[in-house]
Amino acid sequence: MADMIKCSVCGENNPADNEFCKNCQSRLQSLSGPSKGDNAPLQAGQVPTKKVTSEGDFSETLADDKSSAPSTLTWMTPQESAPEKDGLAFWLAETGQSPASFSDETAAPVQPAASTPEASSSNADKSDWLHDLQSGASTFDETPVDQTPISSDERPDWLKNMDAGAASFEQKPVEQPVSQSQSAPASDVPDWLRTFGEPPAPSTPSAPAAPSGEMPQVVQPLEPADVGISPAVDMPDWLSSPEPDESEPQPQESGQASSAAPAFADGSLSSGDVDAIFGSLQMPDWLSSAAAPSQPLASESPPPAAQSGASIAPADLPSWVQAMRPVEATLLDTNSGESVDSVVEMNGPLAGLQGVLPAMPGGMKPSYRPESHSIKLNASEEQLAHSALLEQILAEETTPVPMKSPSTILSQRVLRWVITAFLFLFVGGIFFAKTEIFALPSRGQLLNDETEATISVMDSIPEGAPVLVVFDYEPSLAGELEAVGAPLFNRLLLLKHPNLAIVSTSPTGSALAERFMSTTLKGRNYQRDVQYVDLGYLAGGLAGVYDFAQNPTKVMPFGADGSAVWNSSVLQGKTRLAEFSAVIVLTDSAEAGRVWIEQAGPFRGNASFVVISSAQAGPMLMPYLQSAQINGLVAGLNSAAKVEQANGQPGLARRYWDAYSLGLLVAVAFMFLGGLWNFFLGLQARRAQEAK
Amino acid sequence: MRTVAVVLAVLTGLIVLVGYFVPALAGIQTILLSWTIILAGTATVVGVFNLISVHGNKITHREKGSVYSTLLLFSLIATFIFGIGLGPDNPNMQMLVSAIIVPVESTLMALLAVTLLYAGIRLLRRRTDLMSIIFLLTAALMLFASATLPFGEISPLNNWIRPWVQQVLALGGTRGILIGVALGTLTTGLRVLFGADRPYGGK
Repeated sequence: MADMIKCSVCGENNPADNEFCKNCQSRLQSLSGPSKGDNAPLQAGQVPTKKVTSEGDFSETLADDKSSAPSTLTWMTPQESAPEKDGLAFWLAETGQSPASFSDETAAPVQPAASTPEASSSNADKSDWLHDLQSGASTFDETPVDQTPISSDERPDWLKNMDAGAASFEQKPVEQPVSQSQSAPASDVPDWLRTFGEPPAPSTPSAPAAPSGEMPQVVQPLEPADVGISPAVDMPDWLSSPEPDESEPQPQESGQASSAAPAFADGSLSSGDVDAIFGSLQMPDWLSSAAAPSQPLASESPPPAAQSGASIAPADLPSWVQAMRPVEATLLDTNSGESVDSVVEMNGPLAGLQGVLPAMPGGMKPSYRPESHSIKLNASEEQLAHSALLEQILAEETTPVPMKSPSTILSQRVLRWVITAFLFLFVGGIFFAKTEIFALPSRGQLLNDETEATISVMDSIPEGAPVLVVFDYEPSLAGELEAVGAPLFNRLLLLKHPNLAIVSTSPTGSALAERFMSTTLKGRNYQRDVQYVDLGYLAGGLAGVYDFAQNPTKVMPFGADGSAVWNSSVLQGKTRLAEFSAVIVLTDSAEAGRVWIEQAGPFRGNASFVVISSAQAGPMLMPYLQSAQINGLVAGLNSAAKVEQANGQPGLARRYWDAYSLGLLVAVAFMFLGGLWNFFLGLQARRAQEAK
Repeated sequence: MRTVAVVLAVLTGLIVLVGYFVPALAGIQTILLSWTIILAGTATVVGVFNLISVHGNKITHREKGSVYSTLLLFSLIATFIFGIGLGPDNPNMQMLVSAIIVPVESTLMALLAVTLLYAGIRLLRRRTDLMSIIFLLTAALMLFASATLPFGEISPLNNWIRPWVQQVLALGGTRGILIGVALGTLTTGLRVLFGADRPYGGK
């Protein structure tokens, strides 16, 4: 079973050389080989532990895995350096020294920040040859043990000096600053090697490193200048200054940055250039204001990744990217004293990066959180009093109104029934009794009596003359109008035998006219289409009356029964309103009478104009009589009784007069007695209310 | 469309108005007024059909009072048929008018007598002021002056006070009312002519 591997997914046993599980096709062997410790894969039932992937850990992981996954860092390594490494290893192998030992010795003085822990960890990001070439004193201990020792006698003097120098370098503390490591005695380091780690100087290309006279011949051809690793001539800038100080970006000309420097290199576009580019644009206020505080942050507190010397600092965002983060300006807490960019992401895909997501300082509240406001009204005493009064009014509105007491409703109903009973008793009783107790009003007491004037007009109508009669009242008042008009028409028909043309502006006018002629004037024995014609209903109201008065034959050419009434014997030869001898209007409303007077009056010529109206419309038509717009007015039963007296023949007026007079007296009695009673009751009620 | 209606209304009103003063426009005025009569008669017919539609819907949806709607439609159709077929001078048609239309409407009018008398009695209980007392005394006086007594009329009251009240007080008030009506009619006519009032549609 030692050759079997148990699948961690399905638990199936698989041969040790199988890469995938034969059951679930899960990978049995990791691509990077078996990992142990914290890097070991999780087993079934194992609780995963939270792993802080800080920048230092990330660099260490890269250093451990560089051998197994070299492709991850090849993009960071200049491609032309590989043959240089091979060449260096070749001649070192010929000398019997390991490349590591040689490179360590030669590169130790030129490590600017090799003494710091961050620098040593950051070296893992570089390729092997670069690491061997430029690593610090930490790599001195990694000299292979199985390397063939060289006796001190066989060593040349310059190599002995190097050993002595290495020993002295090995005794130095790790935290020793770079200046101290560079302050080693110049006599201990050869000149060519001393110039290797120096910063590129303008005189370096023209002044090649002078080889020491003690250097063996075999080594001389293999100087760094010959193998192409001269730091002053052939090495690129990033290699000549392997530990650039990213906290202080050096401004460069934009032309040089775009042509020579790689795109991913730090400082390819310095902040000054970016600001110059964006300064030419019109930036909004919030963006320009946000850029101001972000710049001092980047300059004053460089990110740790930049300090550690990493080639790419994950959180070192360009200044223009930082300026495009408006949230940074709003979240900048000056009181907390902690920079927003100092927050390092601990989890997720952004783990290890710094200042990517806006941090939420302790004293900063979320901007989307609404502010709390007090809901308590700040009202004065007067306002509260008014509010209470308003609430009271509203409560009274919604309070159901109590029902009236049954006694009140009963008394009202009783009173109405009493009134109705009295009217029925006196008016109906005396009407059906056909008594003639009450005396008729006497005529001729006043000189300007309208009834006497109307009788005179009727008497002036020629015999057999055409008379236009307008029936313009409603059936509800037919009883009064028939009683008022009957004595006048009896007198007219009996004495003058006129030919009547009947017209009506009411839809029921024709029926009422026919009823009047057939029942009320039944004694006159007037026949339809012989002594009178019915023109029918005249539509249009005021305009119809006006148009009819202008041209009656065109407006109403046919009668109510469809016959040509204007060609009949009744109206033969009559085409205009002025050709009628008289116009008699029977109306129960002042409005209808006014329309006929005003619209037809101007076209009547010499024809008499008489209005027979109800008692309620009489006073409204009286001005037209006094202004001579009409010639006669008979209004109400009182005037009809006078006409009957003038006729000398009792009619409907006489028949109705007793009931009419008694009804009026009963009404007056009720009004007087009831008025007094209710007057005192009302007075008492108001006094009681005032007393409350 | 609204502008066209306004133009037509104003133009028609102006022609009819000028036709009173210019004889040359009397012919056009007569034509327009004849159209008015035709349209008014048509409106009456439309009103009858609207009445049938409203009460027909009530009967269809069995709303409250649909029985009365049925009775109304039945009476309307019967009256229409009798009126067309028999004519207004037919005795049966006259009986229909005398036995149904006149008594029914007269009864409704008679109820007004009871209601008005009851209101007169209760007037001083609701409102006890000088104007109410004057109004009630004037009404009672005129009623009493319009009637006569069994032994004859009260001469001063019937022959002097009542005519004076009618021909002086009432006539003065009536003339004031008529003058107001004339001014109101004139103003309304001018507003219609100027398009300020549009009773024919629109605001």
